[in-house]
Amino acid sequence: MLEPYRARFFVEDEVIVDCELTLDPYHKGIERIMEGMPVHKGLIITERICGICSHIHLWNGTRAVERGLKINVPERADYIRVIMAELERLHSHLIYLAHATEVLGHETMCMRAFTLREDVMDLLYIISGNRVHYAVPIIGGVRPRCDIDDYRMSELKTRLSKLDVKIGDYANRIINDSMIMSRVKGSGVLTKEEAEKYATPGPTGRASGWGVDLRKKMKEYKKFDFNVIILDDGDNKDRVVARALESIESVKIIKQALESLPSGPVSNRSFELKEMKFSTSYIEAPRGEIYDSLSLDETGRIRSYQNRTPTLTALASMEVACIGDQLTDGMLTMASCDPCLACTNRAIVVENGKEKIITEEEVKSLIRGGL
Amino acid sequence: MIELILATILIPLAALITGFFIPGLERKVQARIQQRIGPPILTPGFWAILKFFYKEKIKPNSPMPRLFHSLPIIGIFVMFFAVLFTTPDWWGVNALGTVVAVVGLLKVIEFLFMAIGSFSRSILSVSMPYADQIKGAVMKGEYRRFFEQQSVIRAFKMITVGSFPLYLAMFVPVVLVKSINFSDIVQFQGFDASLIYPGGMIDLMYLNKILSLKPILFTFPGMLAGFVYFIGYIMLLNEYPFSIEKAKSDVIEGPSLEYAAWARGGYYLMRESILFVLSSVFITLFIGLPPTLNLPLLLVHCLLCLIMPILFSIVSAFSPIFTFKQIYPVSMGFTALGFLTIVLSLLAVM
Repeated sequence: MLEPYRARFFVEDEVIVDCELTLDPYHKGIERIMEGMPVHKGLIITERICGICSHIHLWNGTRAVERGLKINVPERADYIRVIMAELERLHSHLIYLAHATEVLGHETMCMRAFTLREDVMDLLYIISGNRVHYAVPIIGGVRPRCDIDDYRMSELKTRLSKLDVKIGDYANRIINDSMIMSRVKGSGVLTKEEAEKYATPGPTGRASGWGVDLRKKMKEYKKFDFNVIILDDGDNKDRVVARALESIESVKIIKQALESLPSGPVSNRSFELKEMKFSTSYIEAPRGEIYDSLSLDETGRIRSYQNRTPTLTALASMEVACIGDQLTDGMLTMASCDPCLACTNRAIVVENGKEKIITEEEVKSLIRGGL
Repeated sequence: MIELILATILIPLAALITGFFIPGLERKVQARIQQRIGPPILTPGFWAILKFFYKEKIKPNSPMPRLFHSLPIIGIFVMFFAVLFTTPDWWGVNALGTVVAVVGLLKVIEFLFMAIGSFSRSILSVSMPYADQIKGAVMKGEYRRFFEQQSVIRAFKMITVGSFPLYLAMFVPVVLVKSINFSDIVQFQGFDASLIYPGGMIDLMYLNKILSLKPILFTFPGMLAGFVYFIGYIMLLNEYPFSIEKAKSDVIEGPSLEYAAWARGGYYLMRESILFVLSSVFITLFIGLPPTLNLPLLLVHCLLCLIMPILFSIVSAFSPIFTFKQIYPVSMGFTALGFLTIVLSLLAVM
């Protein structure tokens, strides 16, 4: 098992009749750590929520502050943020494809996905200078060191053109491989109704025909032409194919952004940090919707930060999807929602070594008052 | 008599030495396909075993620990006997040099995997906490199964459906030659028993003799049977795509999980000897070159034994793990092909 969760399967012969998930060990306490920190210092910690989609966490936290304080962001900065987000989506989807094929037992396709991912990591490195935590967005724009100059522009364009072809080839190879398709087709079916019921986020929900993509609602993405990949079968095959096709769409967005990158400053420094009431932001991360909310006190220190990541609902919906499958397919189904437990487990409450049940009202008061 | 003793010692030794190279070759080929360097050739097969033998002994959590520990050793001996039955020196011993005898030994090996699973209770299975059990809840009507037992059921299914193609293919030469004796089968393909004892000198004569063999593999039923044998070989080895018994993602290595330290070394040795023996039986049956005391011939035999593992590592590199949903039709298809090959062989000899 690659993630610290326990999937307990109840099987008859090899067929899963029931499934129970337990999420546990990871709890980093990031929300608590951020309490009382100056906002520009605190937000950088949000990148540590996840090592895969680190940019999107920082962007969403920053976005919540910008929305709350009504800070204008230069258009060039928005473009760079979008480029970073789509590169991150690419590398996240490639990790997903590697993970899914590894769970399938197809080591070669797994390795090839990782090889492809290296090219994307190079692009992320070219822009940000880092391979994992990029630290690109700051309140009011992006860091000046992450501006895309002529050299970076030509490097990005050259490498991206090759990447486009490679990802297409890889996707074709997966789709045309009858042995892979025999494993993923028809297993782990999540219907559209179930996807809606469990609020299945991101590409997992879209693979079940539930067409919610927050990018279409975000002002930062308004200028780009791209398709929302919606598939109907809702099985493991569609979840794999959705990621492969979304990767191609991401390359399309990055290309458009590079072609029409506006000139001008990359950050707006003319703002004042002041008391901010509760501000929220939703964003489409590679795995689905991310929610961030926070407020600031009069000195610009963080109060009641909260973050919600997509794995919780995505994985919960897989509890339903795996029923009726073979045991081995069950693990594939679990992996097919791209679980990321590192960013999902938020709190464990233990009092005197006993389990404690917290009511909804208590949760609300904890959130408002700071956990 | 001296030849019998020498063959009994030296041929298993040659099998063991060849076996040391096979896992490394497998890994190397797969690594190259995956555009990686891969480990040194001797590391997975030879140095890994040495490392395991050096480690502190661990008592397994098995209901019958001694028997559990001895199973790989039994497997190694069984496999050595299988290869000895194909050597010319053993053909005369109690008429054991027959295909039927080797089939029986291979069945024992298949059963050993079941026994290994049944006798193991790995730490991951035993100590995994179940919250409802800790609280004292009784799971009525539920049977909690160990990882290894899940693999045992899979092993049982594989014995019943997975090994048919291999055994059917083994009987194609029997039908073509109209004899179950290895001596007749290799003689049919042009093997000259007088080559066995010239003293092990390298001579071009051997090369000529080897090239003048008329392998069953190059006949139409032989080719089909060879293909069926190859698929059955992968099934018997529980390798990709038929590695359902040890599908790591859901049952965590299955039966072999409990083996540690020197016992794991023994388990690795058993795997290596199986890898060699299955290839060796194939070379004897389909190419007509049995393992003999003659050094050049034995060397050629051992080199030919490396081909099949290389081929299966290529297949494994390009395939996912099959569940029984895929294994049943694949196995049935190859069983049908095996039957067809036997029918063709019957027609050929009639």
